[in-house]
Amino acid sequence: MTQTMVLIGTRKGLWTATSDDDRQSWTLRGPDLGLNEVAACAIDTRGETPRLFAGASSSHWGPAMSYSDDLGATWIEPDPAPISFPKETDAALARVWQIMPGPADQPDLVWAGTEPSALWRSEDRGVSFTLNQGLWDHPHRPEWQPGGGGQALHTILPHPRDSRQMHIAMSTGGVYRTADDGNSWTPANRGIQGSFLPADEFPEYGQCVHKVARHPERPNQLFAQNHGGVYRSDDEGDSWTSIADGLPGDFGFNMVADPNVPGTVYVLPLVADMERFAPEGRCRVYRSSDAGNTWEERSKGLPGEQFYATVMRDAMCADDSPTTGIYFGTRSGSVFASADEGESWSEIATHLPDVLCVRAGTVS
Amino acid sequence: MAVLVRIPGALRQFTDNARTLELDLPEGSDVAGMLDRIGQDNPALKRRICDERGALRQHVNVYIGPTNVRDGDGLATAVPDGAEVYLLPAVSGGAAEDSRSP
Repeated sequence: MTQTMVLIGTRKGLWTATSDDDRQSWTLRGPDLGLNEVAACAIDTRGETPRLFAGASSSHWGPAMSYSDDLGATWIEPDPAPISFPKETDAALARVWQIMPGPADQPDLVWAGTEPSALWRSEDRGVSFTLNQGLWDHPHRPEWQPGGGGQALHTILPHPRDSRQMHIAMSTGGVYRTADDGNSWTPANRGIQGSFLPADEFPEYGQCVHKVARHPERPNQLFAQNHGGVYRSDDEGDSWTSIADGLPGDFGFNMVADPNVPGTVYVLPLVADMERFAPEGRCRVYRSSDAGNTWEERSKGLPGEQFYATVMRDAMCADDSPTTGIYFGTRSGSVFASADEGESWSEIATHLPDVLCVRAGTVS
Repeated sequence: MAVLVRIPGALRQFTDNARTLELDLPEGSDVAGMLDRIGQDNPALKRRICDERGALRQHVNVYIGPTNVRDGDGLATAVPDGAEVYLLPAVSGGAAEDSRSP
């Protein structure tokens, strides 16, 4: 049986929502992973059996990374710990921020991003990871500073065609890219303003990027939601231009690329960094179908007033259905879903703990 | 030498719900050695108590009898023969999470 699954990582455990009727109705199950906060999750559909991943952490008992090969019925925490900083780094894992399955033709390749900012590579489908030394030893590292959520590598974008290329993003630090399989990394932030910096400058690096996305069929084009500023790059991050015109605010945390339609992206604007609310208290998704040149408000079925919840950077995602589904979860514990590319929405979960991450996919 | 380790409820998922662990440690062992011994049989349990550097997690306390090892020599605190060891979650913890953006 084929079903759509949504993983919902929250401050107090992981829930799953599943739909057997093309996302018209949903069954919610959980929580898994106890009282752990789940800041990263992933659905890996590449193997014969879908594998779910969860990066969980307890304020008392520390972080852990687990996987499930039975759609969440049971979770396995491998030994030794999948992600463990080598002794010579004198660092310790604080949190897994991102879990990114690799391309379809490398079904055992999985990437992870962590706090402290580090990139990890697994060649055994997430059972064990190796630290990317090139990024760890980067001379800029002493100048990367923690954002409000911590010093985290939160975005991993493997190149869809060239396994030697990748973009990553950190808060703070900005976007970095490699073209030599991770041996060396260069900042890719030209044109992105550091509006939170004293002189509003455009530094080479140090930006507080919140999320970056791209479409696999158009790898040269990147979209970024920054701490002040919404941007597009048409040259793989060599340069960026603002695409914030037409949005009710250029602050926000989310950027989702439609996996079916190159150039279509979704954001959830907030008023400003010092006013982190949906403009006018109305919950609205903004969609661009022309790579950010124009934006359309999409709010049918979303709360139209008194909406003051916010959405964490990884709590918005797309599924892999032919007609794209979009999902987002709020810090007030609601999850909203659209089965029609954002045209209309329904609330598929409510009164959960605050949602930290959401991932969706088709499993069987 | 024999040491009895009392396991808090939150960690019994790692001990098949056992409330205690009986350890046979070399004479002269300290807390670090005791935790290494726990990790040999139960690495996931050790990870809940200390990080990969071996440092005690911020909100976890280890008591040798009535004494918090943080008030002694930390991980170098001696574990005497016949000691009763308590692994205790502090009543602190959690508050810092509320500050996370957005």
